[in-house]
Amino acid sequence: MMLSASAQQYYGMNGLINVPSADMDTVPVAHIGAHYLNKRMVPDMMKLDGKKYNSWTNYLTVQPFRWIEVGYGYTLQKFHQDRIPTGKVGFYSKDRYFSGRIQPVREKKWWPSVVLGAQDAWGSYDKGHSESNFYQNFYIAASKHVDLWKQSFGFHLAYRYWKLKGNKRWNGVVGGITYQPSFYKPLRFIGEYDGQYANIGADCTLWRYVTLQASLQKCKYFSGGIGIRVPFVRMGHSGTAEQRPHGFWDKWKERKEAKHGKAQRDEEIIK
Amino acid sequence: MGEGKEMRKGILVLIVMLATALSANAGITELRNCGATELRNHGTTESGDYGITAEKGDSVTQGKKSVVEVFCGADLSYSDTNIIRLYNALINLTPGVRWNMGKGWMTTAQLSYAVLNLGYSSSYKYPRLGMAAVSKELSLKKDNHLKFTAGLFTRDRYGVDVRWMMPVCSWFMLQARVGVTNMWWLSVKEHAFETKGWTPTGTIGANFWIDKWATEFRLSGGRYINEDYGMEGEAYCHFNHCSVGAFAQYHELYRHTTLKSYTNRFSGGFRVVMMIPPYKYKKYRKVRVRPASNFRLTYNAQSDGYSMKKYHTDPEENEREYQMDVKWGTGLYR
Repeated sequence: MMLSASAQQYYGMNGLINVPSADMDTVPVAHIGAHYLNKRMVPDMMKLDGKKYNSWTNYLTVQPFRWIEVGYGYTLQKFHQDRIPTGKVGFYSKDRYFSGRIQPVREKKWWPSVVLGAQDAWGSYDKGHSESNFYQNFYIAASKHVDLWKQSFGFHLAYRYWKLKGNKRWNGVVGGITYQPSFYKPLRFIGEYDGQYANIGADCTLWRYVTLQASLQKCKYFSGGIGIRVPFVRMGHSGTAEQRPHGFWDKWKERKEAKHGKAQRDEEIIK
Repeated sequence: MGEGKEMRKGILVLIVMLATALSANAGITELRNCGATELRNHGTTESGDYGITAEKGDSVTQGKKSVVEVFCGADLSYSDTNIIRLYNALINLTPGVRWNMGKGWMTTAQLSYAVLNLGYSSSYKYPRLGMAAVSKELSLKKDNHLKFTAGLFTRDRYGVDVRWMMPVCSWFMLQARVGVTNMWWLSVKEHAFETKGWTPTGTIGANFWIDKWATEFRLSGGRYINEDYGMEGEAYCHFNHCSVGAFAQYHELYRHTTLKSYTNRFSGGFRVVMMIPPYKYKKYRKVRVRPASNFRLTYNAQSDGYSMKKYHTDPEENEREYQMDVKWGTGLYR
């Protein structure tokens, strides 16, 4: 059974909190939003004067088909103003990243959905590579949903590989469980293990267009965000008048078919 | 016989447009002599040279009756080029007017006025002429469509542009574009490194349409504003009121100005075009005041920032709508 999925919202892609899942949305959709990240969810390389800090992310993701999702996002980085050590501290820079995931296997009655994905997979730098792929990781994830007593439970398992040493704490097998109550399916409770901490949270789609997520890392430290969900209807698939496509080749074929039809009719009349 | 007549008309149109372009040049000289060299135009598309660019634009209206449309949108230019700045941002108000004179003739003009400028050139503080162009569209036999445009285009270029489109079958269309343009002397500093002097440009390409998924692929290649050569592949998913796409570019090493690149050949990014209501007008009015009808956003990773630059010939040009009334692809659902 497939459900309308919620996002691993800090970078806008489908998933849990800090763990990817194999869920995809059931319709073409875009997400735009902002998320507050407590420092336990920020990569260790993002430090100012040797200390980690809480930050914000913004993202724009698009799922044009049921099986593919791509996204662009960034995390704000703190610096001293103009890079002067005594300068004022603020969010004067950001780390950008592109993400993508494909779902080669869709969830069936006995079979889980499977997703292959990457975050911050591609860096652009003058020499063709980036030295700041702070979020670079690759994963394979599987998800299965089960309905029990009209309640929906989701079981998610993933293997994740983070490239940079500072993120090795999130490497390996990770996973989580989700619960969607029967009285309000857009609400989802999440419990997950991200390789380092156990996190809990909840997300919700309000009025079809607004997504919210709140979570506690290590069951203590808050992260949360809000996003806009924009569902799409494919062009020409909403009952609008469709016109027959044409080009000179089509017209030539039509004429040829018409001639052929006429010749056939003439033959039939002669017979 | 009729086709020959149309061709003669086309040649006449081209001559008129060349005359228009030359007169535009004269106007520019006057302005320069007035000491207005800091007054520069800002292109409406892909103008954030290193980052995100967004704009509001509108569909092209091709009616038989004469219609004057007055509209206003906004350009959002956003770039992330400096490590000690979070971003540079520029918001231009872009009021414009389009006079659809009937029989394929159209005149467009657009002003640009910055209401917010964080980190961009100070020359944006003046209101500027963003575009002024005259165009004529022709539909010839065998589904050949031509559009001639002359005047001031985006990216501070003025000159002549000719486009050609030919749907071959329901899923395949050929297209090409040729232009000769020069840089307007009142251009903004962001375009200061682009080619000056009359520059021929041209691209040729093919479009592929999958009707079931309302998905379009485009392949094109040719010569661009900065005398560089390259090729581009684009893929778009078209939804009812929105188009989302990605593109990849492969170009020669850029060596034409002091800003040379020795390593970068690839670039890419994404585009989002969102239509803004009202989508259609039922009543005919001679003069129509409306908001711009779409919001366009382009993110270009831009490996060197100067390769494969294109100008637009319509103030509301976007990747969703073809610039000619072609009953093919998205043109079927206009």
